[in-house]
Amino acid sequence: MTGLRAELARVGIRGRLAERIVLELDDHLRCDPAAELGAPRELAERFAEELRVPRTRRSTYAGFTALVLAALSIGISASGGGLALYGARGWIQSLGGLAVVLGGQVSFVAGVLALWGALKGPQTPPELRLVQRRMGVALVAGGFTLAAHSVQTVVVEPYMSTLWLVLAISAALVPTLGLGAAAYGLHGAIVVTPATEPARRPFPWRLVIAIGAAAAAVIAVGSAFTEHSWMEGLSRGVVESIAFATCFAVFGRRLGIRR
Amino acid sequence: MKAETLKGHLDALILATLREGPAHGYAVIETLKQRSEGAFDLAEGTVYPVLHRLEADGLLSSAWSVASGRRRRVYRLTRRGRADLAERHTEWTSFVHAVEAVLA
Repeated sequence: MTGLRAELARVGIRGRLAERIVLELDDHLRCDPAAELGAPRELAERFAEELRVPRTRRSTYAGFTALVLAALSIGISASGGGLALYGARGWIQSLGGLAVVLGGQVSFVAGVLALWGALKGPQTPPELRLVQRRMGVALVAGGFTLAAHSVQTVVVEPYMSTLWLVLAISAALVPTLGLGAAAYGLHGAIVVTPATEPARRPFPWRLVIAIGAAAAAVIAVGSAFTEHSWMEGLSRGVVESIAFATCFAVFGRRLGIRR
Repeated sequence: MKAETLKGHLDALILATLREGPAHGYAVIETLKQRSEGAFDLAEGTVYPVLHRLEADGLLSSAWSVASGRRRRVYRLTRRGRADLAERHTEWTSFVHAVEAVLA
């Protein structure tokens, strides 16, 4: 059993679960000393193999739920409590707003890709790793977005009513706990999955350009209407296009959407 | 019969052994052996990881119990596990009928 404990740790199974496995098998050997448990190394690898799929799937679903919760919280807090406050100017708020918009988009794209990958029923380590990488990016971007939103809240705090301040703090705290729990679950899935090279995929130029153009158009038209200025809409559309291309270059390989 | 031959059916067989009530790993393996009249004499090292996966999938739940002064992990079917077993049973029955109809 000492050998099994070490092998379980080697494949990423530690703590209470490792202890439970050892106790269970020890009990089994007392019932049947001739039991065929196999070599500790093989046995530990079999446990890791059986656990990696459900762990990846569950952590992806949990992660996506936490991201949706974060988006809802930020949306409600920004549209209600911030009201005109977010319209207030200042470089910290502008930078914070930009970070929320960019982080939110990266998180959304990575989260949807992870969910889509999980729903397809990944089985092999490369497929599982891809889903895990996507969810990892989504959670980090989600955390970044929440942090940016919190900075904005701190900046406008003196002008906020107590009610909306409480809401804004809740909007940051509750999803942070959700993201933290999802990240912990994801870590549990990653440690039992062998590291593999990302699969080589064809470069979907047309799809990428279409999505990028659509995102830029939505931002441009939406901003033009809300700010009552076509110039403002156009400039934000251009910023969105640049941001989209940069994010694709930075995260594309990690998300498995480019070579 | 080797575990490889049972691949794809092992989950259903393990779930079925727990249909009548909770049991620990050793009892699951013994029940499989007895009900199959020795045909499914599986290596213990195969069954325990599958029990853990079925639990991680939410089809089983487990808890410690004490028997003869020893701690023992006891597994039971969850509601989802029961529904999953019923579905697998239906699929298996129609598969067997279809194969028999062709072979007969």
